[in-house]
Amino acid sequence: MKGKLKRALSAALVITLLGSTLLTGCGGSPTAGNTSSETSASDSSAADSSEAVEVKTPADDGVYPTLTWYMPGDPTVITSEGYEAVSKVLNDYLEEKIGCHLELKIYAFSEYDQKCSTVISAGEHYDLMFTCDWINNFSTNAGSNAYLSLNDLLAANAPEAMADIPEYMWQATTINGNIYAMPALQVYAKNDGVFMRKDIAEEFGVKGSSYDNGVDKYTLEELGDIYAQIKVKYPDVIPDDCGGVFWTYLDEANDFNYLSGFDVPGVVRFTDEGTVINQFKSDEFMNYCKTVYDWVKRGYLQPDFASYVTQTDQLALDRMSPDHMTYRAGFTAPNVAAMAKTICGWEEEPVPIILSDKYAVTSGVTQSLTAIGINSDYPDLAVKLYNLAYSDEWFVNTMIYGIEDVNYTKNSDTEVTVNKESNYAAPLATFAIANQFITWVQQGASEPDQWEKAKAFCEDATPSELFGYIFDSSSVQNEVANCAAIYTEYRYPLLCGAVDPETTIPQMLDRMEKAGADKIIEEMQKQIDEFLGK
Amino acid sequence: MNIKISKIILYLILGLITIAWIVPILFIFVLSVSSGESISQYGYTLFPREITFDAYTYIIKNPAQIINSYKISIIVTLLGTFLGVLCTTGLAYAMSRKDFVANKVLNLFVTFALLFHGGLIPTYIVVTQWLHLGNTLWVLILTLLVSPWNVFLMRSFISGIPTELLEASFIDGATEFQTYFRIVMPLAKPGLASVGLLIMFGYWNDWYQGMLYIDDMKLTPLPLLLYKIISNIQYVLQNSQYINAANNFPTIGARMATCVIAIAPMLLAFPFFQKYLAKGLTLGSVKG
Amino acid sequence: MKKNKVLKDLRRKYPLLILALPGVLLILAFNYLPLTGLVIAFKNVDYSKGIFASDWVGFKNFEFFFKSFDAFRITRNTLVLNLLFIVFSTVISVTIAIMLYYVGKNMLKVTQTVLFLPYLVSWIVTSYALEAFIDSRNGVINQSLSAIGADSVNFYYQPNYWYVILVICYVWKVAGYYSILYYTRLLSIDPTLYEAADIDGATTWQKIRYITIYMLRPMIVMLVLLGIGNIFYSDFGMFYFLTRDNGMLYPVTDVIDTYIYRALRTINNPGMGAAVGLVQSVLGFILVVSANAISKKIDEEGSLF
Repeated sequence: MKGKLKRALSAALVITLLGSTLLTGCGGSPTAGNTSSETSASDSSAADSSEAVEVKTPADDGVYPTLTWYMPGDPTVITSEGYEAVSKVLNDYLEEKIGCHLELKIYAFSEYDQKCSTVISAGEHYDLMFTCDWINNFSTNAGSNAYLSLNDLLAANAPEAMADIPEYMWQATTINGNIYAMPALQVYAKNDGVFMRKDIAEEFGVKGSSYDNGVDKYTLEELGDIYAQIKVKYPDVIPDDCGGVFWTYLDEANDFNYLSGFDVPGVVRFTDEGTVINQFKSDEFMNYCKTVYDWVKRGYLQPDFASYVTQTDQLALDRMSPDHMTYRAGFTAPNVAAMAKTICGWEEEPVPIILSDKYAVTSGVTQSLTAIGINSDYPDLAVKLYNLAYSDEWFVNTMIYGIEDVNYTKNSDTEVTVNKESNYAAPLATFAIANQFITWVQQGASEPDQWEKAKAFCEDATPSELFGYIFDSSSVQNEVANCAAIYTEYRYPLLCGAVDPETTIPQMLDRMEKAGADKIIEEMQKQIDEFLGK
Repeated sequence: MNIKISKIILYLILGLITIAWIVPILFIFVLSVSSGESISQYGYTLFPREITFDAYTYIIKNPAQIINSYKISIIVTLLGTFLGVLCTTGLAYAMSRKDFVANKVLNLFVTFALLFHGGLIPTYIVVTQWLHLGNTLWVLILTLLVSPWNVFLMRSFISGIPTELLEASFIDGATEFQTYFRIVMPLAKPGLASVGLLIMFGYWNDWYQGMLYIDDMKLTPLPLLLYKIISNIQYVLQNSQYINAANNFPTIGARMATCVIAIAPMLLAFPFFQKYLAKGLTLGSVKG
Repeated sequence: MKKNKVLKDLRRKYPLLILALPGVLLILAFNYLPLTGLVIAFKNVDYSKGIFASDWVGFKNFEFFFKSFDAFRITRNTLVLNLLFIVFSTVISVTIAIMLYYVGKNMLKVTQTVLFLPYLVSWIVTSYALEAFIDSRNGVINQSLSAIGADSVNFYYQPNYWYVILVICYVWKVAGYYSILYYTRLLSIDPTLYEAADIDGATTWQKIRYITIYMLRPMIVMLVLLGIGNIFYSDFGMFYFLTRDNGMLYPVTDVIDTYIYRALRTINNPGMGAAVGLVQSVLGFILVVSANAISKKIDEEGSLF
């Protein structure tokens, strides 16, 4: 009896001891700030916030520091072996050029937001991170001091980037005088419109618009007339793509410049950027909703558009059907035309029908930025790394495509064919890194010279006066949160023509008023006045 | 005669329930082997016009990775279930003993843990920075090992064991441990099987813990891998102006196929547990 | 004197402590340690200082929820729907469990497996299965309606149907889970009780009422209490994916968790999110404590503490 008890006891003790060592491990106090290390005379930088960040000189300890770079992409097309092979090639190159190593942290788009926000909140010491206004929101993170101020780091460490990227782009990433992120060179001009299949366009005599700013623009009514003609000849087909709603993020079609995202009341007109108005009260909004309500009745849009619009699987299927006639994306640019052709399986490039002028606005720039973490241990090196990605064609394309002849084959100077069976098959998104215009194009995805065309596309856009202004919502956070929640309830029903706007819009406005919409507008106006007064 | 009719009615009702329950699952299975075109043309039917395994081949395009993820999931599930049942039962037993002076404290301790959540960020900080468990196999196991909910379930099963049996055992001179291992555990077998089943499913299906804490593709469990593949597709479609969606892939089918791939192993594991869930196990040890 | 009694009992029953220890440590590590993060609810998060060292702002983060005009609607929706869920799932699961008890082995295995499968299916996938039924063009219901000449119903646009739809989906998903639990509990009922009742001449119905359900009562009470504890929380996936996040359904389907998700997407303030979570926990806790006190009067064994 006693022996058995002893054995049972010791067994239990062993188990619990094991358990507790696993749990306590090397636990200690949470890391709250920066690690301290030796300051070297040549590298020191003072951030705008109170802490000073010290930097290790790489050559000193003989081991190269590893910088981490968070990026969205597709991690399922790489394996550990594939990644390690490419990583070795990149690191060898980096050792020569800057003296560091790179660790890429690639997350799927769908989890990127969550991952980054946990990493930021936990105060981790990452170096570079992709951020923008449609995922892992730049202005909120920067507003909470998640990122390092780069003012003093850029001139010394990123000469190519500073020279090439125009001044107003840097303004777009500046908040309260601090540059918090490095913009990427990609398509930053925005406009609104749809693409129409070439043969249908020819059949109905639709000439289409030019990509030049404001040339051969169409109005929404004219588009409606085209659809009416199509409906007469093909009564069972739904002409519109239903791939999104016009007023999603930035609606240049009505000359509105969104200051805080579309869900929040408060915009300025491009024609009068000094006055803030509530876009939901505007005539344009009411007319648009009425038009869509009418279009649904006439069969230009899906009958259950309001719930259809979130069914991306069904949309992908419908786009490949032979009846499908149009394609709509966030903006109507030449590279998007090529994408439309591939996604819908069309034989020729579609005709653009552009419904607005082309604008260069802050949100066009803030759709792809890279920031440096506030707790980064190597900010100098991080900026140098970004600059390298910006200017060095071989480097950035190796990051994207891997090793030549193993992961891809080169067809020409600018085109490659990705080897989909390989263990590193183009996991990254090209627009997310520094300079999209020097990246190579995948065969079949778009035209080989698409970036030249894209550059030209951006050059004649009308820049906004408010370039560089980002709304600071800290004093009206409650009102913004509540108004946004209210708007998102009505957004699809109104923009997809499911409800009668004449009765519903007043309801929505009433609720927003109670939630404090006017306060938001006042605050925005105050900030604009200050900004423009500068 | 009366008994026979009521038995027939019983079987009928259960049969109807079974059918009602399985129809949606059949839909899922059928959708996973339907081609995209036939769905958009003919709508949803239980009898597909064409059968295609495109969705499956798309997902399994990298077999080495799927096999690795299966391996990880299996290790985590087996280890986690075994340890989880042990730890949960131990705690639940202590909580069920009303004669134990610390009983009320333990119950309150677990109840409080159930009702109050620290939130995602603090948990993340605790796990990665204080416990240094990030990106290890153990994080997948430990975070789901003991949940207050399961502890309560187990307590409820153990409470079903009459206290007379325990008293009888003590009177016979057995120690606490002996009573626990020789009397309580065998009698609690159905409970162990039920909660074990739930813990096992918890591990097998989990992608969330993996998403938060695992970066290394070598340590990615199966549901997380499938989640990455599928949800990426949707995101790409929604933001197609930003992302080059040059691939031609089946979408609804792929999503359903993910579900089927995840469920299929469970169909194999279930019968194993069902052995313990049949009426045969009775007490039979209550002495007069 | 009481202290002595306590120590004496502990010393005698220390194996119980050892048995409980691993579980306690794990719960301590993964449930209690993160509770320190609740302070975020009272802070204005500034990442340059780290979240724990950020400034205190008192109750400011709570304002946005309480001041919101919709606070009443979303709370009402959360409570009403959760209550419906608890009631229907309990009734149906108990009924199924009792039925399974009287049926043969083969049917038992098949039924249990089939019933349990929905629990493994994610809400996203379930939403497709649901769509197969209620889609306005191709869904099974509307196809049948048009076959008999009636108008089709656009379920995604009509909020009132969703009380029924959501309850059905929820029961479909969890009935298997709960019925297995109740069934397992039934297995430990001493069959001599039934034999004794037979001798006394009880009818089947009486046996069910006075033995089966009576023995299940503690478990029912406990599960209902646990449900009440979580009554201010909702399964986000369910409400977001099944409804396809359609604004027209919000009057019925907008619950606290979905509202917060929408509102905080623009602001992304972890302090506000933590504040709402804290409110949900505290309210749930208060309810559970009261319900627990009541439950003690009904069935001491089922109460939580």
